[in-house]
Amino acid sequence: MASLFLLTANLQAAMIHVPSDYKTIHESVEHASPGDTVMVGEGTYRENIQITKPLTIKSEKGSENTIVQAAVRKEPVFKVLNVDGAAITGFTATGSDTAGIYIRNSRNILITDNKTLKNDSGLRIYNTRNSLFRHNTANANEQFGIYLEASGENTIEKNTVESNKDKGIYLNASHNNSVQENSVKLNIWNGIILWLSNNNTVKDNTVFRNMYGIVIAESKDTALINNTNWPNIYLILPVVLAYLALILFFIEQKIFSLLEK
Amino acid sequence: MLLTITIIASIGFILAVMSFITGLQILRGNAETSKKMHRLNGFLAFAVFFILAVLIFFGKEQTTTLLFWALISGFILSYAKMRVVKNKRAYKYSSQIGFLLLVIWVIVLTQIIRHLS
Repeated sequence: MASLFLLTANLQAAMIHVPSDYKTIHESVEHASPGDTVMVGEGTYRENIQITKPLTIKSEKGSENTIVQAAVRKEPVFKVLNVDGAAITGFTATGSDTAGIYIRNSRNILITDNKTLKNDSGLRIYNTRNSLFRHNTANANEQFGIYLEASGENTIEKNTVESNKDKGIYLNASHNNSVQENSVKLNIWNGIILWLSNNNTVKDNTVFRNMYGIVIAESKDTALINNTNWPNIYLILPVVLAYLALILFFIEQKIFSLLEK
Repeated sequence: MLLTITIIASIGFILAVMSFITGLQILRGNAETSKKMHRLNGFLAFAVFFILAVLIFFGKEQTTTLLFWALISGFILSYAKMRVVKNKRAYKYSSQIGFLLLVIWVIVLTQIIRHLS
């Protein structure tokens, strides 16, 4: 009975193309029915997209060629509200004073292969469960790369989170999440921070050259497994090199005095 | 390329520190050997600085404003240093210029590590 229902649902699911069927993504989202797929062609779109039903929004040519800029800066580029089962794949979301991708009160959300650059935050996720955030890039945002609040049972994996002006990955009051195989580099403050967050797994992450690598505060039962954590070498390297110079100076002095003899 | 620039900048910084130490030795009166060492380290440091500037100005990497002006200031200070050491009246300023050159090297190195590599 269930498979018959799924089969019927699949048969009914439509594929909507942008810009051939509708010129803008948000128009196509408004006209789509739950379960439909919105396929977006390459180009730069200036809009804010709100998703309130289970849809799949995909780009045809990947995030490099499909750029969505916030038309209204104070709104997120993609906003997912009260949805069970949506997917956003293959976009560059930029220019928002809120977030590239903003998700609230949702579950079973799939966010993959997106780039969120130069927003206030890359991904902002509130009260969201059982979702997967994979292969996204959250770089050069004003605050956080990926921010989770009051969210649980999510997987954040294989993302690149670099050069954000505050924190890389921030879990705030979020429990039972898995943060794994992410590359977290050159964020001005913390690489990964868990604040008031319990029972999370932080595994196989590469955390290089942030001010502080992995910070766990007011959090219980965190599993830290096999993370690679390097400090910020721009603070250490000049000191190490100065010591090396001192040693070389003494060697040079010896060589010169031997030559003069 | 970025790794090459970082390595070259590190070598240059070491030479600049060595040059600075030998400069201090000259001030303390350890004359001939220190002068030779200072001259050698100074010229090598300048040569490395020149290579570094060429790689950054003509390379593909985006230069930060601070790095750009640090490199320009480095050239001006190096020229001033060479003029000052040959001028008896201005010789007393050579240690200040030497110190400023070391500061320039610190800025160049940290900017390269932080923003380019």
